[in-house]
Amino acid sequence: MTKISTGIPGLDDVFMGGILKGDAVLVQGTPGAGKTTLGLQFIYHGAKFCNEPGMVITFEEFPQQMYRDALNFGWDLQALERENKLRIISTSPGVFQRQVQDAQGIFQQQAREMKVQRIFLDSVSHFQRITTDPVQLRELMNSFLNTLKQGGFTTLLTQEVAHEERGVVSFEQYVVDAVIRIFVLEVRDFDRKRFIEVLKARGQNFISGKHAMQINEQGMRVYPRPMARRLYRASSAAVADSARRVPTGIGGLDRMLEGGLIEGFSALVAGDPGSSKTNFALQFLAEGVTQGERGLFIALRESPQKLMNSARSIGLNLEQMVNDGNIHILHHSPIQIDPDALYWEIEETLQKQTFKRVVLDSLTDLEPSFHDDIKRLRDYVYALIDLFTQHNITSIVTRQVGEETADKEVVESDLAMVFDTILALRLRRIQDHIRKTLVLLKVRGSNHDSGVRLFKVSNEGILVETKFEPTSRFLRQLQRL
Amino acid sequence: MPTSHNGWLRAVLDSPAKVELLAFFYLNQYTVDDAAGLSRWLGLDLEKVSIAAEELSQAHILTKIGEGKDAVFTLNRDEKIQEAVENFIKTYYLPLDQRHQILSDLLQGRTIPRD
Ligand SMILES: Nc1ncnc2c1ncn2[C@@H]1O[C@H](COP(=O)(O)OP(=O)(O)O)[C@@H](O)[C@H]1O
Repeated sequence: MTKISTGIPGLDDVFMGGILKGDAVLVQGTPGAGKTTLGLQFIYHGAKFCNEPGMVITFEEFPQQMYRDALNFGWDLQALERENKLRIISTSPGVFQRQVQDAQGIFQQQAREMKVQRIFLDSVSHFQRITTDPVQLRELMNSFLNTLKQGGFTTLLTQEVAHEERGVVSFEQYVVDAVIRIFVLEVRDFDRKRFIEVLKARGQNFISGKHAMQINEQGMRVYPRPMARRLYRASSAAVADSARRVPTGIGGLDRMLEGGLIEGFSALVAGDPGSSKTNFALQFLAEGVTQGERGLFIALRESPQKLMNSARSIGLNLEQMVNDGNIHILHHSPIQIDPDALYWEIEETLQKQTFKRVVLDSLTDLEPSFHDDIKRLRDYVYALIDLFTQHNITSIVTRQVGEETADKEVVESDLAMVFDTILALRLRRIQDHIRKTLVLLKVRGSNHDSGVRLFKVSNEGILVETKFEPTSRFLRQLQRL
Repeated sequence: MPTSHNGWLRAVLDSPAKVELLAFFYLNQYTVDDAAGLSRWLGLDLEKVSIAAEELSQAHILTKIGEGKDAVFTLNRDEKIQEAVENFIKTYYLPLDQRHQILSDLLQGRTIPRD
């Protein structure tokens, strides 16, 4: 069976290549969710780029409004009408039904003349203007869908739903080939986020779950839910022994790690605010540069300028490394970034250029977007680390962990599984001085305690030094991670 | 017979409902609807819209398909008629419509596009 492009970037990937030609696809959502935008983009894409003329049937929104809205996305629908590649027809459900039943009716005639392949009908909710009797409605819908099938059209139909729950299954969902649902959910306090989910797709595979969706000046775009391509397996000690070591360049730490991090795996650097997590990450990338390995710094916390200043204070000329093309900084403000969009941007960056080391600073900045959906956060982190592993990249992910982590213990042990090495950096008052301390909580997939070390940060870099014996309470705190 | 002058069209358009209806068809060229549907799009009284649609079809500006209350109307696509309609709308209706648009944009706090 032939698949055709929906014209919505990312949505074809969710459908593993596109929707089936000739299918009827129902698009559900609350008012303002983006159903009309999706439909118009589908039609525009077909008419403009696929030589598939389109017909839009609208029962409520004025065509003139559609022309206007589409122009805001840069789609000139009226130009396509002049080329006979598109018709936007405003009508009533009753007229539409009567005309469609007649093979010589206006709609079929138009469709034949223009060789229409794509139809967008907005919306089936208005069929209730013909009858509210459920049996009649179902018959009406069935006969309408049959006509479309016979005509070989690929059809998008919208349906309005009152609220976000998906408990109720409408009969329309049964009679169509595929159902797409758009959700608008609150994230953070005043922020709303759109998701799209395929609820069913007869005769084809699709990626399940909610996928982030955005509407901007270019129209609609879907970011398929990042997924690890295979189940993550933490490296076993046996595998790790023969694996290549990637030195961090941090004095003392590489010795503790028997040479460095394990190539292709990821380390979590967790700790208090101000405990030098970013400096650890910078030092790791800079060491790569001295070994001829390009590094990518994904900066969600600090601007490139601030990073360069931080680097200078530990004796690293980050600016030079960036200018020489040895380090690339990908910066986004955490308030604006959508984690799924970020994932696909990283994926694209790794496709285009080769990197051996990557830093994500920090995971903490992405977490609010997950809105306490712990499973989704975990899947996301797995997918991201898996992406690095596929490219044989050694990575460091930083995460802020306060003292009050007990209530999140479960999450963290869950998340921790994906990291091969876990370092905790803590600020501690020791003999009336605030000291920076480091504990290796996990190395090479096994829990591990090397004791607490002090470390110093100076303009010569980071140096992990003497071991000291902590109190048992202090150790317990560290191990909550 | 229709000509490209506006005179005959202005004579036909002797009620606000006809002007509204014609403007609606001009801006939404591929409308296919019955009188009830048109009255809904326009938010105008069914009776007034029925009469207006009937008379515009008698003047060959709209094309009427079918009879009775199920009759549907479309815009006549004859070139000369299209031209006359376009002239009329651009001269008499759109300037007003644009003013409405600017006003509604202002009220909704949108910025006004500058040419
Ligand atoms: N350029 C844009 N940038 C961001 N959002 C936009 C842009 N253009 C339109 N939108 C949003 O897209 C939505 C369009 O919704 P629409 O497709 O008409 O929804 P529905 O058909 O589901 O009622 C609106 O909520 C609007 O806020």
